[in-house]
Amino acid sequence: MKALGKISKYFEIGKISYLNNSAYFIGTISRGFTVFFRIWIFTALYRTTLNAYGLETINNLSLANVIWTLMIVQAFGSSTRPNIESLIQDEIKDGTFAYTINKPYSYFKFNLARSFGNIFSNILPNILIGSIAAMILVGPIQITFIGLMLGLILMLFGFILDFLISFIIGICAFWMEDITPLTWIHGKSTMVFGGMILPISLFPDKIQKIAELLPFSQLFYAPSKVITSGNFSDFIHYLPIQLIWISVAGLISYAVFKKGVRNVSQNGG
Amino acid sequence: MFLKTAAKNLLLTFEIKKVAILSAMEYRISFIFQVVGMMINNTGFVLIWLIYFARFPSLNGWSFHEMALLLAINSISYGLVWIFAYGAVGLSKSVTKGEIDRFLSMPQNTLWQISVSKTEMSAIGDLFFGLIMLFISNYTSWQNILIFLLVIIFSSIVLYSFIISTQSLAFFLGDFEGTSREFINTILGLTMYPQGIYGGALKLLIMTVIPAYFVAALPIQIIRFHDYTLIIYLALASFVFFAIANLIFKAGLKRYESGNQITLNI
Repeated sequence: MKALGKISKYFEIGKISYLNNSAYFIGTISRGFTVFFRIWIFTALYRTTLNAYGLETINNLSLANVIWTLMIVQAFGSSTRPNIESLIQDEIKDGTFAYTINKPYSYFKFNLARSFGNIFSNILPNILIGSIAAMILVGPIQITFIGLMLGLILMLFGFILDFLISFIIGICAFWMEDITPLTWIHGKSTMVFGGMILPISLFPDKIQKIAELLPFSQLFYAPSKVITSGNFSDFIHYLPIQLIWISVAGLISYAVFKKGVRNVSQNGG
Repeated sequence: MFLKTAAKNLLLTFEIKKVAILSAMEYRISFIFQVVGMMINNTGFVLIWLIYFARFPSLNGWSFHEMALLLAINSISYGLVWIFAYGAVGLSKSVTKGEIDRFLSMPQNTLWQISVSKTEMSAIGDLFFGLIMLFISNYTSWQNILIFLLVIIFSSIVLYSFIISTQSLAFFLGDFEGTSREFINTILGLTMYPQGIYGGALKLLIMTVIPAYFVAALPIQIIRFHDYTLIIYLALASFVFFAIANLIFKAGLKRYESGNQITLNI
């Protein structure tokens, strides 16, 4: 009963975050349209590439397959805004952090709930607008129910891993004047090795193997690939890598949080 | 009279920016971290295109060298706007929060005041990165560098004008911060890819509503083919977009409602 009460507390935090983010309807729609534009650009890029080289497929992937994979990667990636690391940095700098750690909830779980609240408010419009764009530009692809379910499991783990990395970066504000350069490097690593512009399947073999072992490909690319391919073998390939990175990032976030809290000083009066 | 005011404002802009950069350099570690961090960040684009062109060596006449030239133009024009007119990037936020008041009481042009009021230090990293990319691109003859310096001015004016136009919509639509940011992301996104891929409706769009064509494609074409008549088109386009941005801003400013905020700026 007590455990249920604890869960419902964080559920309510997530709900507030969801409602708060959903209130800015124009913002949500505009993010969706950014996804639309990106899909349009990707279609132009890969269609021109296929035409220029007289190809039907790239690495056995059709144009539609490439575009739908990129669309899902982009839709998932855009759903994590606003970035949790910036919110944590602001709270550390303006002193809110010192007050929140005294409150009867876990700061870590509070941010996890807040992050998932934002994700759930963004993901549906992004997927909807992105699917319309992909449907208009390249037509439909076959997505199996099993592929979708397996992809959604990886998506959940992907969002948890993304949150953990963002949490670690945010907590670094205890020791750094400005964490923005770290958020850029995280963002760009996800863009390059997370298949956000160039699907990892199109990488040269050696780089592909390395990229698939990095955490960045496990955030949004792994679930998108499983959703579009529907392959159980892909799921089995990505799941252990994701779980290992979640464990590693979880341990690091626990350690940095513990160390960071020691820097907090509270003065009475 | 106009030229005299413009020259005076330009000199004043340089003075303001010099002071801002020197102040930021007082926090040396943070300053270096931001500049170097931005350069590492931009390297992500280089990696993407190295991987792409390793697989497809040429695309409609574009190779990695043209891509490096594109990255040079993008980074430098983006860097110039973010250094000299970063206040424009936060215009919609200032409008929504009613923070324009303090600029209205100042003697200089309001749009200029708002634009130069902020400086993004990390954009200095963009300038350095752009110069490295220009060097890598192989378009480094004196003639090319002179054309590059000329087109980069017009490219920056078009980018700045687009930012002002979209950010000023906050005067009419209220809370527009997130959306105006997405507009900026969209134009930057459109300038990031080999410019030979755009056709049909997308090409029409980048030549009008989201003028990415004048920020990236046309400057590249001028440098690559030394087509000097295109410089006139680019100059005209930058003038037209700048005039439109001014009109939208002025029309919006008439609708501005004060936030009655008392702020102290030192």
